[in-house]
Amino acid sequence: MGYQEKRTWIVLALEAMFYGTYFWVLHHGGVHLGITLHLILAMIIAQIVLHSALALTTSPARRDERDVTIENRAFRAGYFALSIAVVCVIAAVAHHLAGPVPHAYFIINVLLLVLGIAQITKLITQVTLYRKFA
Amino acid sequence: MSGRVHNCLRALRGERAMTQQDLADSIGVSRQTVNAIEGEKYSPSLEVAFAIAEVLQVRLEDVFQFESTTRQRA
Repeated sequence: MGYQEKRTWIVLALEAMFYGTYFWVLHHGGVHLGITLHLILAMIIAQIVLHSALALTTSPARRDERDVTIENRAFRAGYFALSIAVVCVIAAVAHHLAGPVPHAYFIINVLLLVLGIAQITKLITQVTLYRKFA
Repeated sequence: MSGRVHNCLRALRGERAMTQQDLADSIGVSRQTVNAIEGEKYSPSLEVAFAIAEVLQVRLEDVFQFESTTRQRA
């Protein structure tokens, strides 16, 4: 497994943990600013530690054309997931158009969920393509 | 036109006693990319294909061959 592939696995694991924890906490009692900031700080520290450990154990390699091709295809999958998620949100909003306007906090979390779905789809596609082109 | 690119990179590299890492370093890609090209799981760009031919000192068509899968109309 090459440097760039390991890097992608680290980002996938961290983002899955971030979104998973955030929405788990949100579901079980609600998220407040303090928890969100702690989560972001933990993510940044984990990124620094894991990427440093990776650089020490695997010789860092620059991205080559295969990495770029894989990332481009993964972005396409992520964009597709983003489009589907946005259409679903629009359909849900249109369905409740006559009802009360949702709270800004709710809208922010929906947007975060859409962003998370797109990002996780992109990263899963990327690691899958790395195995396919290995 | 659709088709598949075949190569005899592994054999040519073996004849020159080069490792995948040696070749990868010479053409500026990762060892994993050379491995993927040899396994015909990834078709390189023209730039990388020409660089491989240049490093191995052979013509491009001696390394890569294109097999067309387009059906001919009767």
